[in-house]
Amino acid sequence: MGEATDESEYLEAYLDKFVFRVRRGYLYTAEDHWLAPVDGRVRVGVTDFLQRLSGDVAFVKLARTGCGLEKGDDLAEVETIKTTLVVAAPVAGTLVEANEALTDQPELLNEDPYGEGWLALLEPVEKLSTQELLDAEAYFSLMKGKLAEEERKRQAQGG
Amino acid sequence: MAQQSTIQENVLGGGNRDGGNMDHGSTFDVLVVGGGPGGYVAAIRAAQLGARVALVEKERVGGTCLNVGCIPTKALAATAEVLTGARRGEALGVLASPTLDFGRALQHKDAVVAELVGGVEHLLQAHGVVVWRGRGRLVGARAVAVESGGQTSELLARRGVILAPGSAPAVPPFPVADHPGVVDSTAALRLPTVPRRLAVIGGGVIGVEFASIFAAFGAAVTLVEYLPTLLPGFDPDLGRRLQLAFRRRDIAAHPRSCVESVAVGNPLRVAASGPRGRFTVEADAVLLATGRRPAIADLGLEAAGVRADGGAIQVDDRLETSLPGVYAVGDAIGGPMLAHRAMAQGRIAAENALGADRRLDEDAVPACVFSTPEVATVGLSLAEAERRGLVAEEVSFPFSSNGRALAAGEGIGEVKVVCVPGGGRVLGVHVVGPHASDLIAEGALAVRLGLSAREIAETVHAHPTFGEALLEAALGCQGAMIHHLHAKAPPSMGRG
Repeated sequence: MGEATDESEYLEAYLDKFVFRVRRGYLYTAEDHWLAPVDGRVRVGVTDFLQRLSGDVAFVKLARTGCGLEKGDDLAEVETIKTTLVVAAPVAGTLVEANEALTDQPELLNEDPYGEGWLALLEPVEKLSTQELLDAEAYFSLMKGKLAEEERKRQAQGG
Repeated sequence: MAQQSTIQENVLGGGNRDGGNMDHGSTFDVLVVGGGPGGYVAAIRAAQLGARVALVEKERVGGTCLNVGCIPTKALAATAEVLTGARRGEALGVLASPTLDFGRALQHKDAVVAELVGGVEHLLQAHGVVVWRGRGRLVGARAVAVESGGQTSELLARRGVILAPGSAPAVPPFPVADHPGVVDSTAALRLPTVPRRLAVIGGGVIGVEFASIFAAFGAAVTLVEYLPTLLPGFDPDLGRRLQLAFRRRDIAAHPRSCVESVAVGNPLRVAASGPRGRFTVEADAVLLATGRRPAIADLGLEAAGVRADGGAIQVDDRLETSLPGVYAVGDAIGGPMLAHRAMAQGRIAAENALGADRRLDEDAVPACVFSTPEVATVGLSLAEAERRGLVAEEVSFPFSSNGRALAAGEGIGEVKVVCVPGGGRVLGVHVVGPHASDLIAEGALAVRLGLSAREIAETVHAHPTFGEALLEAALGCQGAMIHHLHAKAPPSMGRG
């Protein structure tokens, strides 16, 4: 596994032929969400690591616009061939806007998870706590740990 | 008597009516106005119950459904299905480049319509129903005037009158140029050729079906819908899945978009505005599918005392209007405009007119959309259940995990069950995908009988079938779905 930590937009780690990116400047959760504050609101999505493990996205369902979510409530369902991944709301808030581009282009979540593949814009109930959330470097370390675990599992299976 | 000869030319044969006792008098037990699915079914039901029935029809029996609605569109949809199936066949090892003979497709459509209209005429005649050609108008609680060729006859009813005048395309809320290429659904069934570019205004059932059919025929189709999803009024996930499937078929759908005008030119131009600003759709034909409204003008309703506020005939839950003994069914009373609803109401109104006291369970009436993929629904969506104060949840199973669907190369869509939590009573079933219109029958049975998701899950469904997707969704209602995983954390990567 290798990594690149120059001053580009992303922190990058490698496993096999895949690169796993973490976007600098965003906040993260241990459950593989990213959060980007935007004018008092926060745009939310899932990380490159999560989209890669999930596989090709067939369909995305999002909670209703205008609904109030507690932290941990279902924010989105990401359907792939293997699994429907239920993405929880990373913070409590109102869902102000859902990314409607995902309706007829669910592949955006795979192709541009930190950009066009965003899930929802939330109006958080309280100001984001940087204590509970991870910065890019902290998430990057966590992600590398998960990748190392993946590599161990494969070697154990005789891969 | 002019009206007598009208009867003669319109009642087939005559030899097999009951024992030659042909009373062509104008007093009947039940009068039915309108010969579409609501009317002809009401007439046959009343005749089955022993009533002498007359049915008044101004054009052809079968109404919109048989002549310019359900049936002709399904005939064209069958052609479209063969085309799309053949093109999808490459992955299945069938190499074909089919071409469309549009004229033959239209001939097939016309032949099917003619056969079914003839069939309904025969059924009416076999039940002794007298069909009067002309425009019917209520002139009292037990009388209908029929106008035909400048002559008026008055028919009397001893027991009751059933109004089934149907609906017509609504006038769109924007200026539309008068041009042969600007059509409603009726005229769209008679287009001389497949348009190279088709703009469809309205993403409801009619717009979506025509978009699907003409895209299969080779038209470049653009669909514009005012509301946030296609098929507004249905569970929103159904319209969204359809939009995705359409995009993969190169049908461009623009929800949340408002049409400002349709202008004549070469080509025709539809001016619209949506979330990303204004845009223009250029087309060789424009289909206006902005809805239908009850066709209740000129029925004499107001003078007779039948209330029709808001443009639809008002009825109580026995389908009786504000005028006792006068009933109304189908599109004319508003609500979902579905032929099978009209038929069910026709049967009930006939029975009630003859002394019964029956009602229709409107919650258990399914609705189907014959696009590719198909869409079908019965009962409540989760949002509707919550609006009624019910505690409910929804569980979906994707066809991508259904063996039969994958084998057929049709692994898109889902079956969704809305139920009381914990595998409880099924409140609604919503399907988008292969054979949705047939799968929904099981859902309608469950909703009508108040079956639980557990009972569906405990009913063995044959394997491998599309119906197993409903079984799996029902299992999911108990947290016991077998053939698809729901996870909160991503699965392991697996190998490469």
